[in-house]
Amino acid sequence: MTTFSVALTVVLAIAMLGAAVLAITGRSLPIAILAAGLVSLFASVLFLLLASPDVAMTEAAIGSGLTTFLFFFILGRVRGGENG
Amino acid sequence: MAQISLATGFLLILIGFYGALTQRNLMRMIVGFTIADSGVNLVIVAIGYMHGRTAPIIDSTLPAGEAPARIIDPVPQALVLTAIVIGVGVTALMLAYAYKLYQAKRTLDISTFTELKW
Amino acid sequence: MVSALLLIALPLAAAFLLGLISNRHIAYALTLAAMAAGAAVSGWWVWQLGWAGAVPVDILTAGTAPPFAINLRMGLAESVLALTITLTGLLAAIYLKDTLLAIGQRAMAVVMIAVMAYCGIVLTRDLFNLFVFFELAAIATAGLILLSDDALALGAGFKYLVVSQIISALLLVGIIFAYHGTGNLNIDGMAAVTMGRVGGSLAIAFFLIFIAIVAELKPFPANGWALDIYESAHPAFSALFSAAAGTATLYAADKLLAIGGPAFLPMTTGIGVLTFLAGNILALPQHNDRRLLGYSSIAQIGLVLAIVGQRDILGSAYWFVAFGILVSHAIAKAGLYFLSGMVVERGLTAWAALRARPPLIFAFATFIALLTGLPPFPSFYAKWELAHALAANGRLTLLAVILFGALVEAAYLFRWFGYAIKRAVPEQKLACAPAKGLPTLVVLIAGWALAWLWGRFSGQTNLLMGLPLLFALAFLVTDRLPAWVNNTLAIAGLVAWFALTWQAYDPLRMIFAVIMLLGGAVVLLASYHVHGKRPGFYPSAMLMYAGMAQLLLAGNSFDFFAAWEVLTVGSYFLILRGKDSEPHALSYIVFSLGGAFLILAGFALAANGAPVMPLGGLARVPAAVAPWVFVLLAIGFMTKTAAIGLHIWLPGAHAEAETDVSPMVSGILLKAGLYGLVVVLLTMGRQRLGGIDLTHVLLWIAALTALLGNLMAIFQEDSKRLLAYSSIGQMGYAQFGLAMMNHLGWLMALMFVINHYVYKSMLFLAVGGVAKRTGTREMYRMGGLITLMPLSFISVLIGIIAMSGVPPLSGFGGRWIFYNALLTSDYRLPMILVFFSGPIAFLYLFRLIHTIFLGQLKDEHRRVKEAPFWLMVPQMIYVVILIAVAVVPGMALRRVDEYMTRLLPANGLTWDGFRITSDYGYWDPMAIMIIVAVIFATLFLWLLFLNRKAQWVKQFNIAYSAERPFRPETTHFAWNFFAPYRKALGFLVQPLATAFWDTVTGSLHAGADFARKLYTGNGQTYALQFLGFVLAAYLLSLGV
Repeated sequence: MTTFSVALTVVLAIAMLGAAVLAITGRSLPIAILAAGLVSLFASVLFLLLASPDVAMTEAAIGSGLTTFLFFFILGRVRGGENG
Repeated sequence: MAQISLATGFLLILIGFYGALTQRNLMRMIVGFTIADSGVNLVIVAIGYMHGRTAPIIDSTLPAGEAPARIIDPVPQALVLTAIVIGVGVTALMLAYAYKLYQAKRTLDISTFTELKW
Repeated sequence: MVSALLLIALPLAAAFLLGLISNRHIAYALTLAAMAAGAAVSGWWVWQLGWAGAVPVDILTAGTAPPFAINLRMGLAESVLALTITLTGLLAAIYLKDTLLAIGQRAMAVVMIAVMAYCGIVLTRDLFNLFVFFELAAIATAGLILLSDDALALGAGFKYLVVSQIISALLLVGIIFAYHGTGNLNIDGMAAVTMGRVGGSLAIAFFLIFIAIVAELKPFPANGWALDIYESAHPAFSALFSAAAGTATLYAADKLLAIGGPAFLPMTTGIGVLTFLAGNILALPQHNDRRLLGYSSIAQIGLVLAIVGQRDILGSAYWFVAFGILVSHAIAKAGLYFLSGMVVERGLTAWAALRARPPLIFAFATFIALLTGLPPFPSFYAKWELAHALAANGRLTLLAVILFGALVEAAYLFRWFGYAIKRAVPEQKLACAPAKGLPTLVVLIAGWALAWLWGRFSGQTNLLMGLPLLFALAFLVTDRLPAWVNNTLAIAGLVAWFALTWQAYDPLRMIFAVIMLLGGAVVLLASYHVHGKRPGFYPSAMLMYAGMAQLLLAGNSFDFFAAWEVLTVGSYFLILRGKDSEPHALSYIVFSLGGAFLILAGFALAANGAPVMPLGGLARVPAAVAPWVFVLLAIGFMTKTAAIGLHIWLPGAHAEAETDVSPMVSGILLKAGLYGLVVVLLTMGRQRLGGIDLTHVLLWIAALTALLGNLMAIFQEDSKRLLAYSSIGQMGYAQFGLAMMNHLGWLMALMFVINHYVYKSMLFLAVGGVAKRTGTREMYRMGGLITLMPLSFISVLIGIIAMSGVPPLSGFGGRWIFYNALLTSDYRLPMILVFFSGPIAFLYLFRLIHTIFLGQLKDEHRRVKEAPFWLMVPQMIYVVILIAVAVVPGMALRRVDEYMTRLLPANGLTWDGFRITSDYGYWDPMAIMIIVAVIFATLFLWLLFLNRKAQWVKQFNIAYSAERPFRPETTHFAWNFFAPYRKALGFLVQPLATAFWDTVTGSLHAGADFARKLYTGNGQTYALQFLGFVLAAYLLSLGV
């Protein structure tokens, strides 16, 4: 079990880092925001692996869900400036 | 496992800050900060993890008496919950700023907000 | 027992309640009520802990003791801080009335949350709780800026959030690692584990926490974002940001040091002092008033941070010093930001609009005094204690840097004050409103109340209880009355004070007392010539006299220094009143405060660990330190007597001052510097530094001053400038006498003190009277006034005869004593220099009378009258005094001579009726007077006899060939009177000193201009600078 969780951790880590780099360097802003949401999602899975289920739930809901929603909400109102 | 998470957390912080400080678009900066916040949260949780132990939730499988010997440190989890919420609060505030600044300036380029200097 | 938790609960509850209230005015009233309740709770705790003897209380949340729950602590320090924060919040909320009512309940709620968060930072003892409150404060701050909807402020707010994010990331990482290392989140718990020493990874964790908190204090150079907020936000909000936030964060840093231990103190001091210095220097080129206040805020908070870093040497004085500077800063900054809200334009010169309401000028002056650390305010007492603690522990470089930073701060603050008093009033009037006036008034009263309180708690005299100072302040009330009423009160006060205290003076001090008090009263007689009201004149003048009065009675170093600063400030305000005196008054105050800081350093060094020292203790200073103390004190006093090199402020200051002010500052104030030298030389005697006898150096400086001062005087065209340079020369003379360190030298110096007062005051009044009537001060424009202004002519004639040392008047006696003194000493070259300065003095004195009164009357002056009556009265009194002293010099000198015999026994004088004998000869003034009178009468009658057939010729009966010169003055004999001398000796009067000081200030400005380009306005650059700062701090702390 533990080797499986270690392997899963490594995979998640790589995925998170990849998503993070995508968020920073992605050419279009919606992609970047979604990538950031993805980082949060992977993080919440990692929290589960680190024996913190409540944190995982909170991170998934707030970090992933709410934050991404807020981003798109504002993005809708600043159309025209995101490529500045 | 905790070490991997710790390392990942630090890397996320670095990536997040790098993005925040090199991108000129306000929204991208906020995205960068979000990533950095996730990284910080990961670091905190990783510190609390102890190998071979389980989540600090007392239920039928984990009676209160055995808890101290079998759970990971619960304090960092409490801290991280607070930190997540504060993080989203600040993100929302920054987004509000982005909105207001766009309304006032019609641009989201931070290098143009330099009227006040020296 | 009122629970301190109310400080957190009340604002929170009120903020939530606001959501239910729809009427904005009711909501606003609720806000004010909640803030007032918070202030009341804090005030109650201050009273309980400070006076009623209660003990500090720990409030356990969740009913459990730490580390399992969070605890808050309410002790004396916390209660004072909480009071500062809640009061600032209340006053800011009052000030923000219009803005809050316009924006609505959201803004009111956010203000209350901000205040609550700051209180929380102060009260909490849990590290993570601290983080939460910091985040709350940051969100509230940014939220308030967001709500204000100002485009410039929005950019600033976002930059703030950017840096705040980085700070919170560092803080969190640090906290979690610190928790991991100590198993504890409670500050006291952690301190118990680390026991004041952190090592290894715990050190890095603590460093991160500490640097994050320090970053909130806006250290240099990581503070660009803060400056933008200060510049663009609503002033009441900047007041809150500067006063309340800075206060809370400083206490947090102080709490944290308990964990980190003494190893972190040097870093704290280093960051603090660098910020103080850089903040003040960068403030120099600022033109925007709010940005300047931002730099000043950063600098002051840096100073308190440096004091926090010195807590190991400050011991029990720590809270007194830290709070002294902190509350002075909070009050002053709040007050200045409140004032800036009343001024409509943002330029520094726009503050001239404050003149519409004189109480605001008083407030402005008070706030500047609070920041600069002038008596009687808390920062003065704090500065005194700090200087002594630093000197006692050998941290002299730190003391020097702090004093230098304070001098720079004084320079730009007083420059700003000068703008307010002298520049043209802008068209935009003040934006006053009761909502703005009330908080300003409260802050002003708080400043003075705290001044009294700090005086009570210091170990020294409570300066606000001194009668002379209180008397001077009373003139603020009577300022509205006509000038003659104030004048009478002033004269009565001076005479009464002398009558009260005359028995306390030994003969040496008696001379100074007579000149400063009775002499001051005589000079004030001239002030009757002004009709109507003179707002601001009497408080300033009496402040100066109060300082002088207390200087003479001062028995210990603290009283002396406090009196010294009081007279400096009073005279600055007085000099500032002259029409063109703005740059000169600034030059004066900067030099004077520089000298005062040197004196402070000297006293601190001499005190040898004690907080205060009796003046006689200067004689007992340890020999290793004594020469340095001597140097510091001597240079400090020489800035007041305008010794060469330090003299460039005097000509402008004395010449541009008002007619009745010039005699006060030239005739009386300069003597304060001589008094200081007297005290130093009497107690410390001869000191050697590096093998050189320091009194010998003083002698040389004095000789050069005498020579160059007199030389520069002869080339002046402006009559008052001529007299001012003459004062420089004469002070050199007096200093020479003192530095000779023999009986006759001192006697001559003291006789000089009296004589110089009399004839300089007389000449200034006469010249002032002439200037008033003719409308010009330039001598070549005058001429032939002897017939129209005969009384002025007589007074100037007597004056210059006395001054030049020609018999029969008292100047001759002075010369005689002086030459005797020279013969008893063994200095040759300085003696020659001083000999030369005598005839040179005669040159300009002659010019004075010749060009003004003799020669031909100008057309435009045909109708001038004699000078105003009240200007003549003191002059006539002086004429009588001069003649009396000439005939009976023993009146003043005899007792002094006897006193001097006690101190310097050798070579005294013998008094025998009218005749005075020294080792080298005798002097019989009565006989001289009679002989001179006989000679004069004989020659005069002979002249009349010879000229009985003289022909009267009209002024215009001259033939002149066709040409008319373009610059008529070049053919007037009085212009460039001493041109040949200028060709021969002009090289000696190159303005080298002026060039030197100009280079100093110029390079400071250039450096500041260069360094401030750091603040490029780009938020990301600021964040990068912050990260660089963290890295640099870490690397330096590793090296340390």
